Amino acid sequence: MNKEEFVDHKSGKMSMSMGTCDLEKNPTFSRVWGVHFSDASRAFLKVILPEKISQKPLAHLAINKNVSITVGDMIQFKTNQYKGVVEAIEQSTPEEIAIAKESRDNSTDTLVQFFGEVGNNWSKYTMDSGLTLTIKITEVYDQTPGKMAGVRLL
Amino acid sequence: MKITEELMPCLQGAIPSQIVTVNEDNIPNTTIISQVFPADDEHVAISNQFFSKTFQNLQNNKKACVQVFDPSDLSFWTLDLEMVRIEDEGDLFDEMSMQLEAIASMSGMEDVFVLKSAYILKVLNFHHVTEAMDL
Amino acid sequence: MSNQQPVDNREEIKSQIVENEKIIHQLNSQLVRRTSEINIIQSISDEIINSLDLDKIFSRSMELLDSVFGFNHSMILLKKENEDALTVVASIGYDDKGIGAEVKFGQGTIGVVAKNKRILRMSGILSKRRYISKQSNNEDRKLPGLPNADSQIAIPLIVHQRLIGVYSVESEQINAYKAIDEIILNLVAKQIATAIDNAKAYETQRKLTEMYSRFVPMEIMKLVGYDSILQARLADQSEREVTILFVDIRNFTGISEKMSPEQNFQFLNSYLSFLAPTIINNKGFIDKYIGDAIMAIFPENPGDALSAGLEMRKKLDLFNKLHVEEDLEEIRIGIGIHTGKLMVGIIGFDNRMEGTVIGDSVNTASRIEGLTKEYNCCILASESTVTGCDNKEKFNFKFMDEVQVKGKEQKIKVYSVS
Repeated sequence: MNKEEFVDHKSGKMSMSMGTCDLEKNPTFSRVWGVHFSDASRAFLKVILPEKISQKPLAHLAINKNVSITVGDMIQFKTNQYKGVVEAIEQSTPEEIAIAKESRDNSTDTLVQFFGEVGNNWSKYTMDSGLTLTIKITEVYDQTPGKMAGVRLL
Repeated sequence: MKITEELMPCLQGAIPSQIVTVNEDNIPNTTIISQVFPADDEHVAISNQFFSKTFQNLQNNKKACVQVFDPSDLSFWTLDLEMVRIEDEGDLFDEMSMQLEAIASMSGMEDVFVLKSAYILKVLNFHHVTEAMDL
Repeated sequence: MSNQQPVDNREEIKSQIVENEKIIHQLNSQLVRRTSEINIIQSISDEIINSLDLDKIFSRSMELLDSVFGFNHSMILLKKENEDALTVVASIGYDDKGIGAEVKFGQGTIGVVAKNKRILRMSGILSKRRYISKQSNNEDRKLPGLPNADSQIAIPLIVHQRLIGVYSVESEQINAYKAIDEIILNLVAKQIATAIDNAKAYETQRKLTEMYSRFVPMEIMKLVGYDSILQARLADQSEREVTILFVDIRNFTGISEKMSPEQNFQFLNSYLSFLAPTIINNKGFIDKYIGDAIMAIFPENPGDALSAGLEMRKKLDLFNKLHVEEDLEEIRIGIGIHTGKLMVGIIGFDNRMEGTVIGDSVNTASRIEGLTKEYNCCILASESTVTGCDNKEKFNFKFMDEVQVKGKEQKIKVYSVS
């Protein structure tokens, strides 16, 4: 897998969503931020889950640690999907919150470009406190619409 | 659950949506879809084009969740869904086909993008995720 | 406790009344909106349905939909005849009006609506386009409309299940149109379609009448190879061998001087009504009237023209008999007939087309007609007519002379016919 196929959370075009489910196979979505590799080997992904919306995903993760995260370029649709298992859930450090805010604010500018004034609402997504999930990556897929869609990258 | 009027702007495909389904090993699968269509008061539809894992999962487990955006304020809603049937004809299918054809033909791709089928899902629940935002 | 009960009830009733009033107010305002919309649609309908002017229908319906419902970028496209394509005929809100731009069936929102004969409301077009184009290397198609349209409604204009066009509104806003807009447009589109259809039918009728008034004889159309006058274009032509007959009243100027203009008019009309049927009865047609003269063409056998000439003589006798009874002067006519090659075609300007024959043969026939005075006979025909005639036994030919015709090197033999 080459470097370009990985997430650049600073690019400002990223939409990040995490899917979790319970053991009755009821899934839910959570909007996460600041998705980034936490180690040089790129085996682990860290995502910041705003605390205000953490109740349901945490309930799922307590019984099922499988997650799927789609990180999509909202403008060009260059999209990757990361599947993995959550290994740790910790209170986000100020540095991690800063990464999350950076990813949010960069994408705000992109949204303003495309959707006009209303794009500024993106910066209203709350980022005061969060939980940082450390995910051991098991599979990576290209999800960019087109020929490569569904191709396993890792 | 009845789809309310305030949810309607999110179902016009102004901003792409996301769907999550689950496989037999309880592993979720997330992907972007261009539109969640309103089918009737209690159902939505998604178009089967190429996100094959989503459709594969729906055969085994009918539960799904979608995330849709309101283009007027960029807030989002989650809808808990359950697959009820597949349609490959009828008014809704025609409407969805036309939407796809209109967009595809703008780039001369109308022969490539043909709607195979429409998956109809019942809306079990929906939630305006206002707590995610400081509006 | 017990005396507090009624108070609670009263409060409850009070709040219920407030709640009810709110609902009634809401319903009323919805109702007012509905009614005013219906009124507006009604007035649009009344105004355009009574118009037979296509341009007025286009501009008024678009103006009204703009001012009332804010549809500020709209286009009307009409279906091309015998082709699965549409042409922009009117638009408002565009820098470049785009009149004449074409959309093929199946292309873009408008083309897909035309193909499926179904309304289509689109939102987030730009984002969806990016999504699709991510998967293709194709260039975007150039279609009429806003380059950055993000929302659009296109609605088919249908009359008697027949698609006549498409009405399109668009916006650069991401989700500009709601279900209610679809309903409004649906109602209005029905009226617009009917109005356009009415006006088009009227327009076709008017065009037809106007073109007929340009005096292009149907027979010339047929000679040029057309079934309908509407197909005719200037400079369409074909070369044919035909027989030309000129008939003229001798000394008409002298006769007409003794009559009032009104008498003159009546006299000519009566004379022509006696003679004209002889031409038609013998497979000919009148190419033109030149004062008291008639120029007729016989596309088939030269014998047809000869028969017509003989019948004209008989008709003239009858005409004279009636006129003598009315104390009017007896008239004499001269008939010249010649067979030769001619260009048959449509000449003139756009607003005054004339189907006509061009060529030396016309001059020759006219010249021969002039000779009847000199040789004191009623009907003179050239050699080409006599030899080309299929039924010579029906006529008596008498060689009169060999004459030099202006513009011709060879002399022409002429025969009197009886």
